[in-house]
Amino acid sequence: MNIDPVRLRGIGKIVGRRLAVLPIALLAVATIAFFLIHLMPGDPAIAIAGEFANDEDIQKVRERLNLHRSDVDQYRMYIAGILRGDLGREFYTGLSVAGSIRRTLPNSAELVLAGLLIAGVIGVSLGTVASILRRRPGDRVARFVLTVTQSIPDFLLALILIYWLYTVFEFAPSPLGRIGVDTSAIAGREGSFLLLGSVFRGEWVLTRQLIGHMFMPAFTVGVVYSAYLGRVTRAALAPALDSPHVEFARACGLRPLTVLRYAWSEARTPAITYFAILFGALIGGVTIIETIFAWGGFGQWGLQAILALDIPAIQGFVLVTGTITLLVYLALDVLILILDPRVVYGGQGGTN
Amino acid sequence: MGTLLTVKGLSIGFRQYGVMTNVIHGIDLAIQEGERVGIVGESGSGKSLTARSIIRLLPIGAIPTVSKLQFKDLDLQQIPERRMRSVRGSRIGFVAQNPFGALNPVMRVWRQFARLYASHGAAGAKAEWRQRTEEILRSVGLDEAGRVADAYPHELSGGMAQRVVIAMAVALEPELLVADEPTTALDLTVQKRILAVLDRVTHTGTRSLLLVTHDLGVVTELCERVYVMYQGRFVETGPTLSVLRHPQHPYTEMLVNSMPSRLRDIQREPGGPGTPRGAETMSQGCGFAPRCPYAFDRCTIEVPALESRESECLAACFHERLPDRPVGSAMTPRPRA
Amino acid sequence: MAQTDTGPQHANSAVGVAPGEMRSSHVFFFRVREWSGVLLGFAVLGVLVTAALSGPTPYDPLLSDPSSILEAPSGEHPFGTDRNGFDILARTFEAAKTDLLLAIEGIGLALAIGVTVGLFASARGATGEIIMRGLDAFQAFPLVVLSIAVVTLMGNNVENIVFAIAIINFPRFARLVRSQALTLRESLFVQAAVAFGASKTRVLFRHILPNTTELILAQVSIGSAHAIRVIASLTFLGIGVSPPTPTWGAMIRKGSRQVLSGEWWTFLFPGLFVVLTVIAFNLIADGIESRRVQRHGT
Repeated sequence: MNIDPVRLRGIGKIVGRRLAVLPIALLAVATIAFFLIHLMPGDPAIAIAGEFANDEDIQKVRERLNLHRSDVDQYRMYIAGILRGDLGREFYTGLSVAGSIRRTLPNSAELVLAGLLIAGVIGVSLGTVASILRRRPGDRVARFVLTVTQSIPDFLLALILIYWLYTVFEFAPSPLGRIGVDTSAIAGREGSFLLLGSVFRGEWVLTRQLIGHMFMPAFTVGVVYSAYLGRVTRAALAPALDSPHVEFARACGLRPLTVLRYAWSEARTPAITYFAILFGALIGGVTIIETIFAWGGFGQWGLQAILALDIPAIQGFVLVTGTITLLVYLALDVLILILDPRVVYGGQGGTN
Repeated sequence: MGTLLTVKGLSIGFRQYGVMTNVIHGIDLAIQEGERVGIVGESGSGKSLTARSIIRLLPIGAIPTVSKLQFKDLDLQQIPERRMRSVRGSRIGFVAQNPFGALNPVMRVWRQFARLYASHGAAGAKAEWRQRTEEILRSVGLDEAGRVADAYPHELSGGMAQRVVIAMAVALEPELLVADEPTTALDLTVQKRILAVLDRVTHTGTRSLLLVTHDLGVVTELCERVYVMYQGRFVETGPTLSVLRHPQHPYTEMLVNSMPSRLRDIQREPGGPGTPRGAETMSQGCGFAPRCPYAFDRCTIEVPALESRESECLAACFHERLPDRPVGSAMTPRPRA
Repeated sequence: MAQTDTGPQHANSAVGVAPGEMRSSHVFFFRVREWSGVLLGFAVLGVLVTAALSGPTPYDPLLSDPSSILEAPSGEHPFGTDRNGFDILARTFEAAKTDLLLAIEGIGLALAIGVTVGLFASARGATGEIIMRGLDAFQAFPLVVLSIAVVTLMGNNVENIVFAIAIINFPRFARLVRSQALTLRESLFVQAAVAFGASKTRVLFRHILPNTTELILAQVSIGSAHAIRVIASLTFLGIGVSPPTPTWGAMIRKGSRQVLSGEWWTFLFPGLFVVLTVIAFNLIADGIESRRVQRHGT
């Protein structure tokens, strides 16, 4: 897939434009994050202080959270802090919010990637089969399987897996965090890209351990979200298989696998788009699974912050989530630009 | 000159709620080696389906039945799909209506040719393939063969793209070329040039052409013989000149009278009350009866069969010869270059 | 080779006339097969609701019997008992009432909000665009997790989950209503420009409006399926739990403590019901969608 210099320049121009707009978009995300928190109903100070607090206590909480200042002041302090890289300190633990995020994000990232990989394999295979068999009985069967898979709540599947693989068959390691109860093997490295790091360093014993502990949560994510990808694949591939492109390819006597690949080159844009959207959504969305498996992930941290009404932490959580979504969409647009030669001149196309 | 393609008793139906509805009713077709044959009909007459059924590329849900489908020494009805796939492209070429719908939009032209060679097991180095591709592109009139080969389809004009499609269709030197409305999606000026290209690639006399179109003018330019199709049946067939000069079926007469305007406008002609029905409806008797100025009782009860008339023509009409009506502005068929 | 000869049909057959319709009983058989998904979905839901309302066991879902703790499924207790001695079968059906009611209320509220926002978003000019961009930005955040914040702030009782559901689901209705409104507007313009007679208006309404209703019904089903899952997730996390009123998610949460000790019935049965209910709603949605596509095209 060689890209001629004209197209490269065209892509470069579009990417450059998007990057230039990026700081503004990030600012918008930060602002939305700020307002989402501050526009929520109820008075957080009262909720945090508790039922037995008197007015003095409530006022102290308010001051600690800077809620007594005007909204404009709070906003200014907030933005200034972000530009410094300081997202504040958690209300209850006093830890740096940015530090907590740095500690938990890699765990989630590895889990989501592994899960999406499994989801992709299962979902795309089922979806492809369903679209090849379209309008024939096998299609209904495949679609029914997809429906059932989509209907299982993630936490239920996790519990069932733990029950079977751990309690009954004692096949899987204990569902306690990334490496189980004994964390000596990863001492000092908590909160980094453990799996990638161990592969990179060739520490195969550690890698096997990590994969063993990752299997159940990743498989849960994979099965639950495979349905989504499967449906998208089928919806994109089935019309592609009926398109005049594929018909002509068949008329030329091309091999069936080649024909399928042709259909895929038409259908891949929506499939990749949904894949990327899922990735962005899942960083914060595997919360429940992280909680069950004590994964130490980003969503788990965010959930605890929300339940405790830890305002600075919540703000950090929302901000990072929005930023990740923004970056993922940007990367997606660039990827599509590279893959689809039609979408370059004039800067049209991309996702909305 | 032997017979290249024989089709006997071809019917195609669709099944809905367990009930079969036919859209093509038992047609017979024959093409000789080196012959150029046209099928002319309105949209919905079934001509595209007919063309595709020859290469067994029917849409899902179409149920064909045929008593004979012989291509030279191959019984196309019996051979397995794998064998059929090797026939497509290498022995029977196909030209589609919309070139941008046919060519893969995300692949450069030379790559698509390369895939074509690879799928048919052609040996050879990349450089050879490239050279061959450029040769073929030049043979369809694309002088800047190198530039075209490197281009993506959307970078080409309609005419150029359609030449590429034709080039791909004849690349493996098939004995039969099936073209389904090859000029419909193109501008008027470009149409003439594409017809010239089709003329060039079938002129040598070793390659036959089956041209499907709604435009009688196109058929006149290229085809020696023509089948006139109406609602899934052949209503008249014969040498193009004879059919044009002396139409023996009321429908053909109507077509000829309205030339050079396109068949689409016929629906609004005063001579044709009622509109042609889609494949969904069925009627008893001759399908053309509601619009026919010569229809009588028998026409709404029985379906007429193709029977011989003079000058090697066949017509499906209960009238042995049409009552005298001025043939009107019948276009004098152009002499072949 | 079978050819069906039916009587002469009307010319100008409009979209949707089934070809070659024969005896009505024959067609009926195929229609039933077409509708089988939807019927199954409704059947499951119907059984569930009836059972929930009528109470299938002699055991009170809200009264525990401390003498029969963690009993395996048996004739006495078909679904077994949990760690407090509650009969799980009774509680599962009792929870159905809560979950289904929450889902329906939530989707109803989402529909109301969504239709309003959608109508505003279909306004001409910048307003509509701004609202849509705002909706896009809104959906960029993990709404499930954020709605937890809403519920926590508003008070941790079950009713507030309705608001969570509404927040998560109103965008789908808003987008739907907006696109339908735009289509309708555009086609009216076309119609005015070409000056057709009044009958064309009726045809447009006869096609667009039923299309819209079916689209909305499909989204209601899908939204309900989604809502059941979200409710289960939220109550599993402990949000909006007010014992002893059972919800499926809360029951699963309680049962999850038995995962390592092997009393699988404490979490499997409520989970099974969640799955069945979601499948039922999805089947209904699929059925409505395929029928709609068949009749009106996409």
